[in-house]
Amino acid sequence: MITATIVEAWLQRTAAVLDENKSYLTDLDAAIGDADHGVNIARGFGAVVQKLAAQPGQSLGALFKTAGMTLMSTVGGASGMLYGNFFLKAAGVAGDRHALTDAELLAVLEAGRDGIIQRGRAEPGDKTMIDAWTPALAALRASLEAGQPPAAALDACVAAAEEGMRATIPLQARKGRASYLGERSIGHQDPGATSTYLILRALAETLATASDEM
Amino acid sequence: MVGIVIVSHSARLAEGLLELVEQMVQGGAPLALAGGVDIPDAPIGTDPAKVAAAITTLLARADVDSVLVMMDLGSAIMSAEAALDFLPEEQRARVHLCEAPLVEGTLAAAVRARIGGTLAQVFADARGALAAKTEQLATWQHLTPPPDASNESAVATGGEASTELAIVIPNRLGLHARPAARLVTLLAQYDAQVTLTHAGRTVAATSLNQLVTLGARQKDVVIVRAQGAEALAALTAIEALALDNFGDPIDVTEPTEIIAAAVTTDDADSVPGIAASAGVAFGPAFRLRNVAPEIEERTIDDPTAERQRLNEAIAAVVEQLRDLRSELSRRAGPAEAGIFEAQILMITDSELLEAAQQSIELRHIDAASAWQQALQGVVSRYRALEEAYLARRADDVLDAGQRVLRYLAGAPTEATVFAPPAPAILVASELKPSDVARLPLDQVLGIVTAEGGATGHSAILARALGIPAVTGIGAATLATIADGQMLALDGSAGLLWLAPDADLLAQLAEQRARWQAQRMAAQKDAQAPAMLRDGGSIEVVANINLPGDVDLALANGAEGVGLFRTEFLYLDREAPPTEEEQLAAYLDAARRLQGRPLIIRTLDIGGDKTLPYLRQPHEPNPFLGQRGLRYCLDHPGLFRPQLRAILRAAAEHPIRIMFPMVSTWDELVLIDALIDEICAELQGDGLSFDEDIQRGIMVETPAAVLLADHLARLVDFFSIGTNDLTQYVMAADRGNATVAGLVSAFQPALLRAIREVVQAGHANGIRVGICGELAGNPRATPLLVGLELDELSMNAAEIPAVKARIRRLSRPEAQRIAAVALEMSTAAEIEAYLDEFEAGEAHA
Repeated sequence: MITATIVEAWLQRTAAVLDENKSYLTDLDAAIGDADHGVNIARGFGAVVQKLAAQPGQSLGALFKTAGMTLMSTVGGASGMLYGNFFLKAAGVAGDRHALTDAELLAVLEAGRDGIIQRGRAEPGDKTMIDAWTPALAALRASLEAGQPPAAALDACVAAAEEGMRATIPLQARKGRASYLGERSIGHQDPGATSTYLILRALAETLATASDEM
Repeated sequence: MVGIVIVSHSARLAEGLLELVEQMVQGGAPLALAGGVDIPDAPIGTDPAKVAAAITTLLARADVDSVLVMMDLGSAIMSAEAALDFLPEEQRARVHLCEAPLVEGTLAAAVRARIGGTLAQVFADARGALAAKTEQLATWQHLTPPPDASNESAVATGGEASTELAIVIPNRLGLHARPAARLVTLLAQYDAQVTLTHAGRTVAATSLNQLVTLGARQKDVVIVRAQGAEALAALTAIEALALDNFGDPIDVTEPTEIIAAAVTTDDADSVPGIAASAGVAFGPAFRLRNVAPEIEERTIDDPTAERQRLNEAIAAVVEQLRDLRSELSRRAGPAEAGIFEAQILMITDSELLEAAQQSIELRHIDAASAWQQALQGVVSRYRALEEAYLARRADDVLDAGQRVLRYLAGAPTEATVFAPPAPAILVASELKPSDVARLPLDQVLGIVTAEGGATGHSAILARALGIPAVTGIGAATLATIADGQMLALDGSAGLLWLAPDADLLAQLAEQRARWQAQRMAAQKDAQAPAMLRDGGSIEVVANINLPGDVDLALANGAEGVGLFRTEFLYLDREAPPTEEEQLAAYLDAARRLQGRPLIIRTLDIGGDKTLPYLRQPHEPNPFLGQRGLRYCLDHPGLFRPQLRAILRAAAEHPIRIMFPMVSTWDELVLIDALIDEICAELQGDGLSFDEDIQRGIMVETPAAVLLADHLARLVDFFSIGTNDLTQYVMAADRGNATVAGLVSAFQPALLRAIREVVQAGHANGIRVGICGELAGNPRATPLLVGLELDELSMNAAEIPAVKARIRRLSRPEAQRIAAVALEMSTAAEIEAYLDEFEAGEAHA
């Protein structure tokens, strides 16, 4: 079971990882965007962690909603809107649960991913975070359906996200600021796909740590 | 009243805009701002909570009943959308998001809102806000083309409301050059400004390059917007075109890249490539020379003259491409020749042209440099496309674009030269369409290319001509091959040997002999006459463009030449060919025919065929203008050398002469008088000639059909040109997509015309043949035999199939089919009937 405590730990780890990778993400964004992705998103998740600390004991639905709203008002760029909608849609599925089964975790993540698509209208191949989300959740679903334990399934999920992230390098951006660059966006890794990979990796690491401790 | 929310990444921009509105609208309008984010060290951004708050504030006012949200870009749009999600349903229904440009749109909306406009009116005014600016700057458009079109293209949005349509791209290769070219051609006929939007990019539908570089793939949704007087008609036409698969045959094999299975071989000396065309060949290598124009940037004084020079060069190249189109159409079929149509659109593209014109105007550089730089931009954009097939169209743009450079540089027209000292194996990076059209086929033993799959231009040509070919050996291998080096290739296995030893050559020679024997056997059937089942035969002859084409025609079983299109002797030159040059060409063709009959058609220019050195006047409707015999009779200086050459060649060979585009009795009387005059002249010169040369006419005008019983008394044979006759009978231009459907030779009107001509000819004891595309269509063979045509003349490649079809027919059966078909009312009925008959026969 993935408890609210684990989810909070995930978000904390995400905030830390994004903060560590802040310059890396910003450098990626400098190549094809407006050089603010790392700073913006680290700030947003930092704000999420602070907000959650002030409101302990919430249901997962409420927790995700807080995260979503906070990201929307503290990130400033499109990624705030996209990850914000991810958590708002995730909140809708999580409802007043305080823990999620593996299947429910998958449903929550897929609803969130659909929220990103709804807001950004990107498709696979557009060189966006969707290029990481799509293979990652497909791998997670396939592994869980094949009866693999959650840790292994998440490893597969993270590996697929990483591969999807790398696969954005040769793509030409068709969405967002980078699409203004046309073919000059080719050859650069998409920063959004990169932060998605980092967020999913944080999830896998959090669950691994949690199961070690149990 | 309508309230307006301004969403901007920058709080200062939102405030500045508010300032503008207040200055412009006395007393102000109900406005609320959602600019920037409340983060001290990063104030640039958007916050949906702020947007929602701004909307709620306005809706709370007693004088505001609805809200229009104006926004800048990117996350501002997402924030506005997210804000709508936060609002209760009742409020959401009163809010509308507007895509108009922020400053112009907000000002227009505020003015309208202030005077009490409804939400719909305010919205419409905001969206039309660019019109005034567009109009004011219109006079500058020739100097300021859209900025780098790899970004958003600057598509003018007029004030009128636009109509839109979503289409799903049906073509397997996406919106590639051919469908895009059809779209551009189709839209040229409408008074409408049409744009296509895909994946966030909007481009004008007048630009082939922009359309193709949209990168729309199969099943992608593309939004088409149209404005202008005929916007609706244009959209309807586009919808129809899309439903028709953009004119691409659905089941035809598209030139998709086929990745050949890796060839495994024990023979370490061979290089694996792609098996592109079966057969074995060996011989010396000879590289296809590429003549790249050298351009040096110069400063010029007179930009206007320089721009004019560029326009002239482009116009001249368009002519070249049109000629090549006809030539390739004959050699490899109309589908392949379509690429020239696309090339014409690629280099007449407004985007490319404007970029070059702008460089000339603003930077005062020479036309060649300006063109080269603009071309490079478009080419690299093509190369960047994901879809491999589309990306390879970069070579087509480059091929056509470099023609313009060569023209400007005064260099030879053609990019490449293949002139080996003896027959050789052609080695090239890849064959371009224009190379394929011009290759001296008798010099090509085999073809080896570095690039290209099993379906490239090289492969298609090679297979059509039975030349063994290996493609895709890679640039590295290609670079090691020197002229004269002995090569061997097996086109069935896809193998190339760079240093074949004597043993291998002996082995390959044996294989080649076997392969040739098989080919000979296959062609032997075609060599036999086309006998009907109940006896009697139909003469099957070939259409040719140049004397060298005779060999292929004979190899395919032609019993003579029914149409020598002499226009090709006049192309790619500075002046018309002289009498002696023509005589040599006609004698060459006749000798190659070894006593078989040769019908030479006199120069058929006009219509869509022009010659640069003739200064033909511009005609508003060239197909109804001075073409064919009409032009020649009016230009004896051009015509007489040709008549003299034909009459002289006919002295020793079975040559007949044929005149195109005849519509009156008088024309034939004039011709007879002219021939008499020339015969007297030749006699005076002491030259031999045939004064009783058989004379015939192309029957291709409705006038000639209706007058056939009279004309038959003045000539020795008729040859029905179904391509032009169909267009004239149906009064429909096959190049016009909206009426091209009418131009079918299976139209009952056309078939009845053929019947009239045959009956009139036979009643006067003269032979009647047919030399249009219909003659080479085996589906039509029963009809044509039943209509009693004496001779069918077609492209070489079509001969074996038509002969085989004739052999399965008996004359009474064919007559019955023709009689039934001629009583039918529609082309569809006739085609269905022929198919049904064919199917029944297949089962029998």
